[in-house]
Amino acid sequence: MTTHDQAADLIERYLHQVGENLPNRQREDVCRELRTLIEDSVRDRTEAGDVRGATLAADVLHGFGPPEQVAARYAGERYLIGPGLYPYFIVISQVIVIGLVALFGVFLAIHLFRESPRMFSSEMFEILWGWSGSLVKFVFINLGLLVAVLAAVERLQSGKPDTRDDWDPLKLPEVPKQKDLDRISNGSVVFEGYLILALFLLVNFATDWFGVIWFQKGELRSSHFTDFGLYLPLVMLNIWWGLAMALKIALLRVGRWNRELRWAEFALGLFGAFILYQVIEGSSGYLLTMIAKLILLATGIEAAVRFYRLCTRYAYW
Amino acid sequence: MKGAAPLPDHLSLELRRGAVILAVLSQLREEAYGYSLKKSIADAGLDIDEGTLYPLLRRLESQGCLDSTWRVEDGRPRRYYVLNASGRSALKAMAAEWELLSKAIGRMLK
Repeated sequence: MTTHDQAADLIERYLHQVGENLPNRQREDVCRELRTLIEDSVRDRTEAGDVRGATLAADVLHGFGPPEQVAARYAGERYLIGPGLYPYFIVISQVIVIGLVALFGVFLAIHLFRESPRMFSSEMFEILWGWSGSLVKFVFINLGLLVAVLAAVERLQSGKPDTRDDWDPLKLPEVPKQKDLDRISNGSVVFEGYLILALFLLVNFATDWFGVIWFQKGELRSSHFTDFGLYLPLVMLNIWWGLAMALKIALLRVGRWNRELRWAEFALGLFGAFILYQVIEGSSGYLLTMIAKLILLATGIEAAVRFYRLCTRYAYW
Repeated sequence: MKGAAPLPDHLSLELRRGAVILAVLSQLREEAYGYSLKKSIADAGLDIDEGTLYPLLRRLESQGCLDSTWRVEDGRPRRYYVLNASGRSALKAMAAEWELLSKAIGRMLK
């Protein structure tokens, strides 16, 4: 290989590495331009008397910087969770971690009470080790879900125009005399979105995690919900969760409740009540059917109140 | 400044960020391609590394300050950049801001 070929090969490898780190839509165009810029630089220095071939090319490429950094500068700043959503990530993460630690603490205490291992025995360490592993696993799964939800919100919000310069302080609304019911808390909406996603994943992919634990004659027993004759209309539930998630995203985009979103919420409530009715019809267990009936009653009352407010415009607009 | 310690990289970067944009816009009142632009800025006494300058051209184009076009000259394809109307007004505003800043900082450093 001649020194010229070696230089060309080096440039080719550099451009390949830059391209690997660029989004598809930019790759060809940026690499094409970068190639002409590198070649211009090499040619200029060769014409000035530098004939070191591959070493010269390496010098030039060194001036451009590491391929990953060059690609990052072309691609611009990209966030998984940007500065706007980061505070929510911190708060919700804390809720998740503290909640899970508390929950595991309670269940671990029950388990230790039931097993009664000797203090500092290998059996006790085995239990603690196993439960700690499960706790870490649960924390990571839930934090992962949270990151997925926030990353999706970040992506949706990234297209929103920046209106900071357009706002007029004189047009600020008056402080409401009563509580502003249309105002939303981004943190709450994101947290609800996270719960929806978590429920969707749990019910679809981990139904064996659902159940109840109780004591019977000093023994700790557990059963899955399905053992109690619970019927879950999965297709309808998934549609409901999809629509509920779409509503949360729309709410985040709009920034507050409006008439359309309130009607969508009302329709979603009715659909939820219908699904609940299906659950009651399909389930055979007495206790769960009673609970579902009570929830259906509460849903019905809530829907009636929402409908009244929508018709009378009471307190919403 | 006499006896001044060398400026740490991150501070130098912060200080130069806006100035580099102004320098680039000022040199693109006439059409230029990347390498010729780098040389003209260097000739004026400001050295900008390639990894900063070339991505900046793209960013300024995507922000609507520059227009670009591919052309073959002397048998070599090159992407030429030039200020558009929005870029010209941005340059004017930035130059005015620079004057104000320069005078104010000058007074403070005395």
